[in-house]
Amino acid sequence: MAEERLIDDGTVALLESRDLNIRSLMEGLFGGNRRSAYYGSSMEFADYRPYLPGDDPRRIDWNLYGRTDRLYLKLFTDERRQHHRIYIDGSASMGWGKPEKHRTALKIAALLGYLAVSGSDRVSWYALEKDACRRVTEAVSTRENWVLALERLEALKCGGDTKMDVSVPRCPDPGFRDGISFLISDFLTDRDWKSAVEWLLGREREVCLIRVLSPDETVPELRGKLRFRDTEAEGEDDERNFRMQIGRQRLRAYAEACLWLENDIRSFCEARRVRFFTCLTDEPAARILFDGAIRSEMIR
Amino acid sequence: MSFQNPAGLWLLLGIPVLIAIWLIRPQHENRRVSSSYIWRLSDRFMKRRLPITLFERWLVFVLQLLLVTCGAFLAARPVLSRENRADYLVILDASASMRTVTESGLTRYEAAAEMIRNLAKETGRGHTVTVITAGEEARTVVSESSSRKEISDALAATPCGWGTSAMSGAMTLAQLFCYEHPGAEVIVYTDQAVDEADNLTVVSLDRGEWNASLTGLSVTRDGEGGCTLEADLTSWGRDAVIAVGLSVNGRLAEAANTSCAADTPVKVSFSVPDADKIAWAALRIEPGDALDADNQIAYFPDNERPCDTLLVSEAPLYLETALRALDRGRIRLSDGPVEGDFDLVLCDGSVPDEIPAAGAVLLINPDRMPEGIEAAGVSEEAAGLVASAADSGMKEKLLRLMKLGNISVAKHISAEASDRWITVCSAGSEPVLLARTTEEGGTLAVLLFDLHDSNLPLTTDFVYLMRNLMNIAVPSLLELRLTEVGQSQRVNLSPNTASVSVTAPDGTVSLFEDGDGGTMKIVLPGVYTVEAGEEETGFFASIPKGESAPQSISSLSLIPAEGTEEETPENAESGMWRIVAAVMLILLLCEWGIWVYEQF
Repeated sequence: MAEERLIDDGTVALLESRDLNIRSLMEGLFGGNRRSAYYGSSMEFADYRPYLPGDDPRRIDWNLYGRTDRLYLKLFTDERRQHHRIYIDGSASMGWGKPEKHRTALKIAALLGYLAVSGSDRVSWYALEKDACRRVTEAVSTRENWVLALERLEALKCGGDTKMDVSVPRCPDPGFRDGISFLISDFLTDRDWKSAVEWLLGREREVCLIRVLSPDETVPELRGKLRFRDTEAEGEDDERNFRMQIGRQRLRAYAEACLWLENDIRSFCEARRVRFFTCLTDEPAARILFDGAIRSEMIR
Repeated sequence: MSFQNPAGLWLLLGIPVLIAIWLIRPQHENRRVSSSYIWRLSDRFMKRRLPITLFERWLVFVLQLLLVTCGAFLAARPVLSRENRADYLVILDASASMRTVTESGLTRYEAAAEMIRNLAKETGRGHTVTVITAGEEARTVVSESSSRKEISDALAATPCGWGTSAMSGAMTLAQLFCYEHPGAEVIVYTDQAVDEADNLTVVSLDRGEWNASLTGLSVTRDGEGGCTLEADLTSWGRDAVIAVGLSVNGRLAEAANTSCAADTPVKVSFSVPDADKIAWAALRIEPGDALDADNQIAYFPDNERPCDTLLVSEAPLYLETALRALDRGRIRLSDGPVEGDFDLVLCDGSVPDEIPAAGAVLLINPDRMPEGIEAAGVSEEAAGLVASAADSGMKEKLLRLMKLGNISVAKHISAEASDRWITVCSAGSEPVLLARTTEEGGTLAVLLFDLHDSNLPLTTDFVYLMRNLMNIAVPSLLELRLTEVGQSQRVNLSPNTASVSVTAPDGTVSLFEDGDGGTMKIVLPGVYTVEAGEEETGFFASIPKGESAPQSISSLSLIPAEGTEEETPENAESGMWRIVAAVMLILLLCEWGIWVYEQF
């Protein structure tokens, strides 16, 4: 059976009225629609400053000169184009679930990319594979290129054990103070993914974390004596493969552990003004964005 | 412990099979998960493990082992050896003969009770004793007791009876007991010789003690106003010369020695010159034998009670003469309506407007029929009188001592009677003497012919008929003057008697006031005094005749309960083990169920 398209037209139409929510003033390149930290030539008034020789006399505020008898220049905010980067966890655990978490992650990434190009921003996608960070396409800034990039996204596969703390800093073009970094993962790893987030924050970019889980990971239907085989385990003797008796008490402990992990990620993000939400693979991508992303103020 | 079905233990082979299955089968199922990270994290949130949870891994296995073991034990039907434990069932003969005094000075009953007490001494080791007394009726006095005191107290509170032995009833109870307690030991304490005993032990208490008895008292009147009292004297077990005395009205009148051969009744007789002066007379053996209860027998004359009679007739001469010949009280003549209370009313050729309900009424050749009889003309076909073939007490009372062979009827009223009427006698095929009991308890008789058309008045049978009618109207105060323990005595009240009191030999008084009297069960031997107004009389109750003589029972047998033969050697009790095993099984299943619920 042919796999469904990553993004359908209906979902795209729903996003037409939405935009990525950038909280702080960024820098970025010229020609965009985002307010920046620089003074420029937009229509939005920003400040006054005393006239200096060499300044364009057309920008003198003559009304203010009439009241103060001194020359001041009227300053306007500059609008820049942002460059958003979307990091997609390509670990083997992302290949779990029906549909796969990885595919849900790709849908979210694609939709976020669409929102970016809709806002006249640029967007890049990066696949986190083991300890590498591979650029999926060149930066996309138009809808035509976005459509072309979907094919590249759909071709992405997952496998192995992604080490986010290593792979994210290896991003070939991580950017600096020029947009939002989205990190989409299940965060089911012993690796220090928090250091990766810290590194992104160090680039003075806004960071958003999206956690994708399969329903059977939140409420597992496992019973009896089991020998777990972790999808990311490397060989039989990997410590992530182990035996366990699953009973009522163990399931209660599992639920508590899930809740603890969720709260741990959330408290980490709140402390750093990192936006975060968790979604399940059985939810439609559009609903994920309209529910989780809007609530977490990633989009508006 | 042993097994009734040792083959069931083969099921224990299931244990090594179970162990093998547990060894061979993979302990853990491989399960691929996206990440085992949270499972590892969940260790942090596991509650502190209880010691019992350490056995969780083995709990199912242990339970399965126990289940297999229980199943094997159940199939093998285990029995718990009780070599030192037994159920004793004791049947104690409580008939009158058990009152025979033995050489030790105790009665046979007391001696048997002492033996049972000795048996009860073993109850301290877990034995149980059940005691059934076989007196007039079989009764369980102690049920499965291990308490020596309880057994002793129950025996002390249960005296020996005065009647016969309900041994068959006791055996029925014993049989039921044996069904419930396979392997129970049954012991019968009796003085009766038992020819054959199956599945029980008989302890004979008959030591050949000598006993003499007086039975079969009869009184014969001679033509000179005197009478002769005659009784059977028997010496049981040996030849003896026995002194027998006659006392009349409480005074010794005569005594004589009589030689008796062993076990052969000898007639002893005493003459009393003036029978009418006897209020009561008693024959008594000189004490000295083992059983005192059969050493006396007493006679109370059965005097006929006066009967107030009304004769309604246009020509009463003959009937009046016949009635006066009977000398039974007042006779009144009338040719008009019936007025006043009478015991007997005779209506010749007429029917009173209101027929008296109480007492007895005889309608002779009535000019109209009472209710329930339809006259259909007159039959002039001569025929002899024939007693009805129907068996009824009324017929017996009316025709007592009468001989109808020579009596004939020349002409009679043809009539048909309803079912309420009893045909007493017939002429040809048609009833000529009908009778019924009224709703008030009286008697109404109808003679369907004129006395002139029959030779009945010319015979003595007519006098008997009148006497029988009077006896029906005023029955004898007591039905029996000589009775036995166990029999019932009927006390009759006449219309002139308000109440009758009967004083038993032990002084207890029974009062009869209601209706026409009542019935009392005789439980004690001896002289019973009866007072009815000014009349004082009595009757005598002896012990049952058979109790005086050595008795025998052809066989006493019990059918062993199913499985008893296998169990008897060890005196086993398997039922309890089955129950225990079943309960154990249920508990295990419940425990397993709880564990499964907890785990899954």
